Amino acid sequence: MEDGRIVELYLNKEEQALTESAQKYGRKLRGIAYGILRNFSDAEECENDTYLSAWNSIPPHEPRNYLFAFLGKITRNLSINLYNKHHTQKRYGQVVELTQEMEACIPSPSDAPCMIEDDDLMEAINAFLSLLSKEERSVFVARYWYGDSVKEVAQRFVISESKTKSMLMRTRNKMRKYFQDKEIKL
Amino acid sequence: MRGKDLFEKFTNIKEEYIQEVETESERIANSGKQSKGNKIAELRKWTALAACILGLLVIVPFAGDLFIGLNESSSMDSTTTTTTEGLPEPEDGALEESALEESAEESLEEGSSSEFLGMYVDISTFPIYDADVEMELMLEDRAVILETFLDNELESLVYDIFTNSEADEYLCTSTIHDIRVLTEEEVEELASEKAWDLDAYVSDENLEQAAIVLVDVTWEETHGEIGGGTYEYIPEGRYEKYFILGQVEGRDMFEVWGVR
Repeated sequence: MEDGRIVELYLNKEEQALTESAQKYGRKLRGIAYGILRNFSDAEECENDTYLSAWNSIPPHEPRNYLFAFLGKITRNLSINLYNKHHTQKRYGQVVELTQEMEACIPSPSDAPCMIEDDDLMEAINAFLSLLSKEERSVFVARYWYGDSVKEVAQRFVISESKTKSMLMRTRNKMRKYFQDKEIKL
Repeated sequence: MRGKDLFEKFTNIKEEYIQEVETESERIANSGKQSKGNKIAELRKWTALAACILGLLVIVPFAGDLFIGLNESSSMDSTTTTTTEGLPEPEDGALEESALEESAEESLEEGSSSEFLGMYVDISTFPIYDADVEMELMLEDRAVILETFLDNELESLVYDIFTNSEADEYLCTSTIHDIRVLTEEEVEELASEKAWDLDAYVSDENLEQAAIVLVDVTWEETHGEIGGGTYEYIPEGRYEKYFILGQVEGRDMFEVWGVR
């Protein structure tokens, strides 16, 4: 079913919206959650909570043209929250790896609170992403938004793992330089 | 801010960038299916080319120095005292048939890279290269098209090799699809897979720092007979070449010490 029709189902509060969403995007959403949590039952829990959250947020939102991204953002947020809840004591491999890599994008990492407003930071991140080539951006987003492993990114875009690693490293360096040049205090 | 915070904030990037990953991967998957049908024809083409190259190697005792830099079919290990001024000078007879036999033998040997890796550059400490580089450089005897950016001085050093002009030597177009410093993991993997003795560079040349730059290049001839027939034709095609760079103790500059 087309995204527009699924959104209509949500808007009309028809339960079929949930089954259609699950049928079309369930596997991908579980994949996003699993990328962060590395636990199937937790990933499934996040997937189900995603539909519930979408049910409550459509309306007012009407993501007719970006339903997957809309659901994916909810899944990612839920997964991070669940990760934080479960792993306050013991940090977990995949997320540690991803967050350590992302730290390389920050000019001067510190525990001090971020100096920039969330909206401004998002604007800067999106502006930076807009400067990248489509390939660079997709690889970067697949790794740090979807939480794909390097191997999964390489398979997704049919490139070597070494090229993937190298592209990611370059993009992280570019992002750090971008923040520095724009004097964005993170 | 820490990496973890940035990772969390990253959730709210524009939806279009999230969707783009899906469309890009679908597009690639579909184009992969389409190209499968052409693979047999492609294989036949490359088999014919390989036969042609083999014939040339037997006949030609010497080839122009760029041949070493760009011809993937030559399995020669060009360990040389090369400077940034140009590509390595070939050793006499290096492209003879025996090179192929050596390659086969070499693959049975084990590579060595532990010492080389011990002095491998930390490229993240290099300043980001921000000199203006022409993406399409047209020279008298060649064109160099750059499809990527140069991120540091090592990549720039290797790029310069492609732009150095030796009159009456060869006429060509090089399209550089990618040029990058390999990671230590990649070098370790390559040395083991291809049985490269990288440690020999360290001991022989007294290197203080080392690196390998990969160039993914398509080479096109623009003329048939070049240099009055002195130099052999360089087969057209796409190649991955590895430039071994090192900085000798007491010198400031990196130099190219070998091409694989």
